[in-house]
Amino acid sequence: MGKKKVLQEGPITPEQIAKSIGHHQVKTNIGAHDIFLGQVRADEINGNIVKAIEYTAYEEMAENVFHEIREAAFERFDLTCMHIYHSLGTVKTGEICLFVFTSSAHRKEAMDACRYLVEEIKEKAPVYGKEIFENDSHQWKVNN
Amino acid sequence: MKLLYFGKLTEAVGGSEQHLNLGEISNDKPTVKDLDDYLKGRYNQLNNQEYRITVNQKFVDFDYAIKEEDEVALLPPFSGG
Repeated sequence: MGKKKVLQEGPITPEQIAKSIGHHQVKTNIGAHDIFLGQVRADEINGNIVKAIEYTAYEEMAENVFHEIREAAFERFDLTCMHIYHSLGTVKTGEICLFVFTSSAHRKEAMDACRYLVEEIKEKAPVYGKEIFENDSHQWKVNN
Repeated sequence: MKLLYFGKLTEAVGGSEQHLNLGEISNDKPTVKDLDDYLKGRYNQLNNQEYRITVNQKFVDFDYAIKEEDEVALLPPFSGG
């Protein structure tokens, strides 16, 4: 399977997500989808409120890692298809920065694969989030 | 050798990309450990940072001997998603 680009500039829009769901209506062997959406949260840290996250990545390595994660998920789960999109650049609070979409004949595979993918992405993809506060100061995000 | 810095480390070293000649690090086939020692000497702020090192996008051991054509990256903990 060819490499699909995961990283995209700016937020993932609701329209993009809706369109992606729509594209699957012709695939009538699918019985279940699962979707994970990561949204930028307005955390308050020491009295400062996050207004956006600015994402950067070791892009070439990240795309290769995303590819490996996808291949591993296809091996592990009985999936019909799978899509991953992650933002680069500025994503404001309330906007979507990560979209993981899995489809299968049955719900269990779709749901297990979706969770697996999100955890793998958080652990293995060389992507960095810089939290920008309302007073324009910043701190580097740390994943838990 | 091409050196790349990411995340917080770009602030510790004041940039994201650098070219280094192996001779600047050591005259005798410098390893990743030699490079790390060299960088920590040059950029004091790297000493209290957590990071891992890749060569050509793969995590390598500290005894890996770096080649001029290698792309070396210093990667702090990831924070995507």
